[in-house]
Parts: sequence; C-alpha cells; structure tokens
Amino acid sequence: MALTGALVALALVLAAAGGLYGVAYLLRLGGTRAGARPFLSGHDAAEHAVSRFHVRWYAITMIFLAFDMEMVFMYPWAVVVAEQGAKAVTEMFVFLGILLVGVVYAGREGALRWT
Amino acid sequence: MDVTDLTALLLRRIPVRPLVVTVPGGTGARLRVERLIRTRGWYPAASPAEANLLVVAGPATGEPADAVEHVWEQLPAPRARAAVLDPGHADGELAAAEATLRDAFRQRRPAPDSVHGGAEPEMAGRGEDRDGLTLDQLHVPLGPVLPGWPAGLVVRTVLQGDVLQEAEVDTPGLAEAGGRTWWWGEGPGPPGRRRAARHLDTAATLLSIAGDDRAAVAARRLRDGVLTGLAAAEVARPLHQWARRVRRSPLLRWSLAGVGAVPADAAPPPELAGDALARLRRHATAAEAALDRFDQDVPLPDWAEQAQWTVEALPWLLRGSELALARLTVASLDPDLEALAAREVAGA
Repeated sequence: MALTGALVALALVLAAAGGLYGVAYLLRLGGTRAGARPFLSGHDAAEHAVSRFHVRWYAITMIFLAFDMEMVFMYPWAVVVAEQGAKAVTEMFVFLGILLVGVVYAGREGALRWT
Repeated sequence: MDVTDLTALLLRRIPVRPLVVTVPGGTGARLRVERLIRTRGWYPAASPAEANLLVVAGPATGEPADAVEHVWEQLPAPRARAAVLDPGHADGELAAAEATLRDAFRQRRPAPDSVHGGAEPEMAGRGEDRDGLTLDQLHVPLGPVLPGWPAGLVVRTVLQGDVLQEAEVDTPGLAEAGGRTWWWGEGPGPPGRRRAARHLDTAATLLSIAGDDRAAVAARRLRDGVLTGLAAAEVARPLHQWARRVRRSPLLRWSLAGVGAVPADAAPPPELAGDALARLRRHATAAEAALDRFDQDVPLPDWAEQAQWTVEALPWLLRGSELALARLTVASLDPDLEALAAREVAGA
C-alpha cells in the first residue's frame, strides 16, 4: 500500500518535471548555447575560472566562532539559569561582552563590509 | 492558439533590458539614449547576462568595436542591438531594435551553438602579494564595455583575491573619435547648462555605482531637464532637494568616505581633491551654483586637464584598492577622455 503511494508520488513528480521541460522546449527560441565565457568588459578571460580566491577567512571565521561559541554555551546555560539565579545571568553577560569585543574587532577588520 | 503564437505572445511582453555601451565620441548619443531609456520605462542591465538589448552609443571602430562584438556574442536570446551614431536618430534606432526583439520570426534565427571553440584558458599563476598569501594572479581588464565606466578607458588590472595589485591605463579608440567632444565643444545649448549637466551626470554615475539608484535616477532626470531647456526656476526646487539628500545621506557617507582619497602632495586639480565623498558633494554643490548662470556663457572647467591628471594618477591611485572601491574611485573621477583627445587634436 505504502509502495503504491510512493510510486504514484514518483509518477507525479516525473510528470511535473517532464511537463516543465516540455513547456520550456516548446517556448524556447533556439538550442542552448554552450561555452559562453564570463563577462570581462568585452575581453577574453586570460585565466581559468577555477583559481584560489581569498575571501578573508580569518575575519569571517571570527564572526562564526563568536556566534557559534555563544550558542554552544547558551543552550546548557538556559537549562540551569533558573536554578542558579543572578550569578549565572551575570556570568553569561560577561561572556557575551567578551564575544562582542571579538565581533567588533572582526567588524573593524572588514568582515562585515560587502565591497 | 498554437504554440508558436504563445512564444510570440511572451516575446511581446518581456521587459526590455538595455546594456548601453559608450565609445569615445558617443557622449551626445549616450545622453539621448539614457533619456529615452528612462522615459520608456526600461531598466538598464548591468551585464550581458541580464540584457536583451545592446545599445552602442557613438562610432565604434578598432578595439572598442571588437569589445562590442565580443559582448554581443555573450548576449543570450532573445536579443537585439542598436547603433546610435547621431543623437537625433536615437529614438528611431531604439524603436527598431525593440521591434526586432519582439519579433518571434527574427529571434528564432539559429545562433551559433558554441560561442567559443578553442581550448580552455590556462590556470592562473601565483605571485607574491601584499599580505604574503601567494594567491593566484588574475588578469582582469576593466572597460571599455562596463556600465558606469568612462567611455574609452581601459584599466588592465592584476588581481589577487579582490585586491588590485597592478593597474595599467590604456585609452583605445580615442584617435578614431576624431576630437569630437560633446561637453566641451559640440554639445547644444549654452555652456552654463552643459556645465551643470556634466556635474549631474558624473554624480549620477557615481550614485548608481554606489548603489543609490533613486538618487541616481533623480540626478539623471535633472540632467535631462537641464539639457532639454527647462527654466532654472523649474529645476531649482528638485535640484536643491536632490543635493540636500545627497549631502546628508549617512549611507553614502559611510560607503564613500575615504574611497579613492587623493593625497594633497599629488597636486590634483582642485575639482578632484579629497575622496569620493568630497567629490560627490562638490558636484552637488557645483550643480546648484550653476543654476543662476544657466543661460550665460560661463567658462567651462578644464576637463582635458582633469582627464590628463586622472589617466596619469589612476595606476598608483588604484594599486592596493579592492575591485569595488576601484570602480567607485574611477566613477568619482569620471575623466572626460573625449576632451583629452580634442585637446591633442587641437594641439597637433
């Protein structure tokens, strides 16, 4: 019974995908053009597109670590904070303050710039 | 209704996305084309991939013409092209190109299957760089076909990551322009209007590169109003509003402050001193100041001198800056290479 349902769903998915391809085939103006190179202001690319590109990993890693560590410690903290009371709250905010310094530093290093 | 009609029906409804290419000698044509694109409600494209109409403003010959052909090959179907040599013919050329774009029969003509035969380009080589990371060196030319880029300027860069390690300036196709310069000589109307329009034009380009499309469109609308002969009293209110907005915008201050800063000891022409933000604000203020003397025979700034300084300064000014900042820097300097060519022709 479950198999029939799965087969019907598969048939529907295949029909939908095939239908979309069919509509695209009927509406298109011509064949797909292969081998188009990237736009370089009207010049030809001199180097292969696969090349090492520096995305400033260190600054971005700092942002990741700051928020990741925050989550790692906040989950267990959230379980016990009600029992521990004001002391736990104070400790967490001191910890968040330290992380915030890291975020501000990474921001100053350009991790949050989009240019 | 058969399927053929459905394709034609869709073609009649697609939005037109023009990619405007300006070649030296084509400033007048570009201004007219930009005005028509705006009044027709078309939205300009930033690259061939999102364009379906290629508009070439000016007489393309030599190297710029090769670049135009190259870009034309990269335009996906449906596509059409228009060559506007004379501003007066712009309307007809654009209308004809739009008709071609919306004509299913002509769009179905088979395009070549493969744009590039040939082998894959080589892998990039590595080199020393500023940060000691020994990244791949990519040779990336900027211009001549690049929206918001001065006509006839090519900067050949060596990129590592997104940092420009080397920049070399080239000005192909200037000789073919034959010393025609629109802002400076042959443009219509009194110099007072042309002066205000050029300030607005440079500001509009810089604003569009900086991402403030609303202010850019407002600047272009004002520029076109100034050039089509609106009375100064009519332009004054929107111009002051626009200038105030540009000067006060905290977002523009944040994104342009310190970009392309020219040190005082480089002895720049006074119009180009400071950073991109200072230049933008100066353009806004200068456009307002020109308002009083619209229809007078005011002296025009020495745009050839400014272009000369910019062409010489760009290699060291761009070295070490990021790719996006380099585009902002060039847009803020906006060298009028036509004026430069005209001066050389006059001097020769």
